[in-house]
Amino acid sequence: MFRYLFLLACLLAPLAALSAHAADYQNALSKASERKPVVLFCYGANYDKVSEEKYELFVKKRKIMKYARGAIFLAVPVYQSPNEKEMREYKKVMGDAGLPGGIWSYPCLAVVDGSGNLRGIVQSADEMKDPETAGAALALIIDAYGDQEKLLKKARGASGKRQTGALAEAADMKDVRMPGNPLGNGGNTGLGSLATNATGMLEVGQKMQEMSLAEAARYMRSLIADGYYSRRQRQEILAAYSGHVRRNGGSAARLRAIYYEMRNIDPTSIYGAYAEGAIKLWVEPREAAGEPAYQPKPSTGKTALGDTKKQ
Amino acid sequence: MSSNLVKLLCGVVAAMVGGYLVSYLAEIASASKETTTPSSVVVKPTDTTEPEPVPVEPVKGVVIDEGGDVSTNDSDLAELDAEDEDSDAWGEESGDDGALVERDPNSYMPKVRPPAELKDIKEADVPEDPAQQVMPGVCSAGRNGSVERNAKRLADIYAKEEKKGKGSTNFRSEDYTPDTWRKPDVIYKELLERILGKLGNCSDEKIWEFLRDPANRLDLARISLIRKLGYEGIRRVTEQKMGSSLLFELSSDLDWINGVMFSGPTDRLGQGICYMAAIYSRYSEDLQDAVARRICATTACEFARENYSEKDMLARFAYYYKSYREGKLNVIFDTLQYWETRLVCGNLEPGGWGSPQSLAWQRDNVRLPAEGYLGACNQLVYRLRNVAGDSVFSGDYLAPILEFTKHTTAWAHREIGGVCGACSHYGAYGALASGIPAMTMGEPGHCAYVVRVGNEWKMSYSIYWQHGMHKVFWGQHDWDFLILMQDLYTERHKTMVSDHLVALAELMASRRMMKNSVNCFDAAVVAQPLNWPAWVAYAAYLKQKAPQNKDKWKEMHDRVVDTMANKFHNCAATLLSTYVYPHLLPLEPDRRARNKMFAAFFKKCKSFGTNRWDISQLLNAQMAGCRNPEEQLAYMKEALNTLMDKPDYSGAVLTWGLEFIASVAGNDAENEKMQEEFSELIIKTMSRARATKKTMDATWAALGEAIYASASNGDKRTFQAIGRLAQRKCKKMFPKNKFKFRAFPGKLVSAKGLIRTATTLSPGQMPHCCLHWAVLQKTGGNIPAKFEGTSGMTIELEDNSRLSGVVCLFGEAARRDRDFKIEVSDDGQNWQDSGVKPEVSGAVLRADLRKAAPCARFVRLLRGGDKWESSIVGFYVYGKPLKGKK
Repeated sequence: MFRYLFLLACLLAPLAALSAHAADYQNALSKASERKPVVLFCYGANYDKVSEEKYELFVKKRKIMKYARGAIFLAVPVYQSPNEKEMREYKKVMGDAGLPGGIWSYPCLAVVDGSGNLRGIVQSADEMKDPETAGAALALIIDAYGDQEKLLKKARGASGKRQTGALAEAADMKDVRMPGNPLGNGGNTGLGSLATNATGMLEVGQKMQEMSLAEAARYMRSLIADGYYSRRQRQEILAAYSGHVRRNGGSAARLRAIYYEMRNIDPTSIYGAYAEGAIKLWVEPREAAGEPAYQPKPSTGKTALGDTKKQ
Repeated sequence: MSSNLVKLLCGVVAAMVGGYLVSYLAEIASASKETTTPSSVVVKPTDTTEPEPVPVEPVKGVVIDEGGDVSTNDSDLAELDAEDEDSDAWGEESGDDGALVERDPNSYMPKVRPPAELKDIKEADVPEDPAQQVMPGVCSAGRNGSVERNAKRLADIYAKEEKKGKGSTNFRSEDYTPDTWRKPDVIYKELLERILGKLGNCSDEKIWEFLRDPANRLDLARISLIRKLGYEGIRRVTEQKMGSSLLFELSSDLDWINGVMFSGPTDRLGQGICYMAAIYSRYSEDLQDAVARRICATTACEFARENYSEKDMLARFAYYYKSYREGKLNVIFDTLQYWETRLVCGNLEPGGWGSPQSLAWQRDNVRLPAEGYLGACNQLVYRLRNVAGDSVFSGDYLAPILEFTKHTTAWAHREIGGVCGACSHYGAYGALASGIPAMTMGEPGHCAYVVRVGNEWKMSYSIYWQHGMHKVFWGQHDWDFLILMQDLYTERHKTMVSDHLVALAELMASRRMMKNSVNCFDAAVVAQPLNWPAWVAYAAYLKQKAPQNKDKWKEMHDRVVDTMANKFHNCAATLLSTYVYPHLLPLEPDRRARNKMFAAFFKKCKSFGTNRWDISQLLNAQMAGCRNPEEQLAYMKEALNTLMDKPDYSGAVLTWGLEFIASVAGNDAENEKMQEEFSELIIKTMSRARATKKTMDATWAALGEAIYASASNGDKRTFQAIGRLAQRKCKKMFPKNKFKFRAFPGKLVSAKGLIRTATTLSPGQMPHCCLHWAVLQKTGGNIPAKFEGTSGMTIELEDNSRLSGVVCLFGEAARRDRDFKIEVSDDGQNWQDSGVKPEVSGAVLRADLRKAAPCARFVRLLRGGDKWESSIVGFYVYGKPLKGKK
């Protein structure tokens, strides 16, 4: 008897791995785990033909489920100027909770952790154009979410540089966002801060304003070398330095070198694109006008964190 | 038995699941295959078209660390750093030579323009009928009631027709073929004959009967079109490719032509119809659809009105039409009326935010319910300087990523950030891109926006009460006019009746039928009292035909007060002060009668209405009717008495009064006396204001506004009077500090002076301006401190004095590295450095002037740079007054 039941359970197990539907948001959050986030399909329910079309295809025809990697799935109707019935419909799914911050467009697939933090999102028209494209992006997020959770667990169990290293690695992960309070200690990640002032300017850049080029270079290097910053932050530090150099008569060769370094940290990021654009805009015309061009030398392979050849 | 059942069950399930399992495993495999291919992942954020990959320069020697780190010690950049160690190349900060990407926030508030001149109606060269040259008297209440009832009935008929046709009247009449439109004069004569024939004696009954027939309404719209364009204008359209066909289609479809002629302003309509022809020549098949016709008419008319190019107009039409066809717009767009579609399709900035590219990006990447756009501004990071430190007001702010974002304004700002202008445009154009009415609006030094949710306009990002709407129909930018427009067209059938009556009135006027014309104008404003253009057209005709007819102007005045002023105080006040008072007041010699008229208006204003508004324009217009200083004084007394009892208006009227006093200030004795009388009157009025528990806040705010105005005007006497009054009436609002600091010898010569700050006050700070006065008193007060350039804290002393020292108390400990300095002046214009460096200790700044002992009437505290400083709670100047000596 038990053999048959076991066989039945084995046969049904893959079905469960497709994805699990939750009754409502609270139920979904309670089911979430380190490897199983909640996937919210948020769609405009009474004002958006695109949303309706995607709902039909993604949810009703279940075309997105195979990419959900066993995550908890929940469809959330978003209403425009809702009437009472529609408010009840929304409440049935979300209860009194609001949608997590960071959703900028519907329809979308929002990946949420058990605490309700938005950890990744598929939301542009291009990403959501068909279940395959959206699914590919969603699967990447879910996989990355699992890996990021592992790193965060590691960080929580560590201290000092080990903790910071794990956090920086988690922050550098593509496709996923860090939770609001990764260490569960009130938000102090231990990662270096590049706080902005009231006008949105990086404090690093503001400090550099008072420095000579040489001082600013040393300052920039000291920040990057301490290893407390994520990739994006290091790009931002270089951007601040590049602005300082550009406005204070730095050479084209130096600018090209900065922009190369900034781009190569992560060429697919926005600051990678920024660096590319900056080279075309502020370096190439000067080189064309006869300024000495940047002549890179072969690398020894040494970096701030060690020898890359050995790694 | 049971085990057999389980076996059977398992077998069935296995058979069902097995097949599914196979396909599931295959799917998983394909999914994981897809996900492992990075190229299949779309880079965020995206455009509607496939984004170009970021071009990556071949890496020449700079170490790429797999983990993302770059070389430091041995990198080329490090070497370059070292080379510069000694060079210390400090250059002047280079200027922003790129094109501006963000407007100066001070430029968002639309400029107040002089009111539009009333235009004369051109009359045809036709014989005058003496019976028509009689100006009708004041309408009886009976006639007004009858007009109201008939207009309502007619509006119901229009609504029924629309309901029957499911959103349109569907009335067509193809009387005039494309060829006939080449001879507009022939059509005009025929139409005129037909219309006048049907109107007969033009009695009210005949007019209602005429308008009940859709064929007649079509004729009326056709003749109005020819009158607006002129024969030449019509011929120009026929010379366009498919221009005649457009005129045929347009003039055959009642809904379409009504939408063009009666859904908003018709400035530059000739160009608008040419634009429609340009669309028609490209999309004639598509324009069989009513929504396509709506998009065509509104885009063409609005682009012509704004004088934008045909190319931009075609691109905008294509954007909305294509988006509509593809079902990418919010469902709100499908049921918009023509006037609303004008706001959407005619949105400003055909390049930049309103470019098809940027709109398409927002349509696809910022898809939200209407109310969601109110928060969409927060999708942008507020950044005055980007990550590289470039100002948002320079081209360098966005320049490096423009290629990556394909020069898409909204996308570029979302990546880099922006300030109020970009944030507000992002929110407003997000809604517009989805087909939801929205617009940006200016506020002093700021940009905000509005989105229409349901039938309500909701503000976002707003920080001031003054709003200057950027997309307006009648040249009026105030908030009240936006709400008036909404209410006007919400009652669109009633408004259509009124518009038809105006069209008839103008037709009659052009035929020199003054009596009929005035009757029609009267009916138009009675039928729909919110019809602003109808009022303006009527006033223009009265100005032309009966400028001296006191009864008709008075009738217009009373009607505006009885109807429009009920809700739209600002609109009614603008109408009266701009178009009615200049004619009516000179005809009314009796001061009491005039004041009675004014009081009738103010009676309607229990609160500010839809939004706070600037009453000074109205009060100035009323004051302009006074013939001598006595009348002015009496008028001011009346205005103060009436408005001081209204909490919303009390501060505003005091401010106006103080500004009026400042404007009459002069050297001659008569003006001096007048000024004194006005001041006394104002202070007396304020003294009467009660400050009970209930009214304390209102009194405090009113006095705050007034004291701010007196400080701005440099009126020390009133400043002090209001300060003392406030202390008496609102004692609880003042702090009771006991400061401890070392004073200087001599008398406190600043306590009866005047203090001014260059800080722009926020609406939250404005009610507390009486605390500025208290800063000069021993118990202390509070005044925001702004130190920038030559702006700082200026004190006008009671008398010219020989100074011994200055003490300034900050709200919190001041930074010791600040380069404060004290300057003195005799006249407040020419300043001299006191030569003493003030000492700062904690929150206390002291400047010992005993050695220098300068004589001055003005003292100011300055500091270099533009950094924030905490507020000032006490400011004391010590010395010996030199009475009678300069």
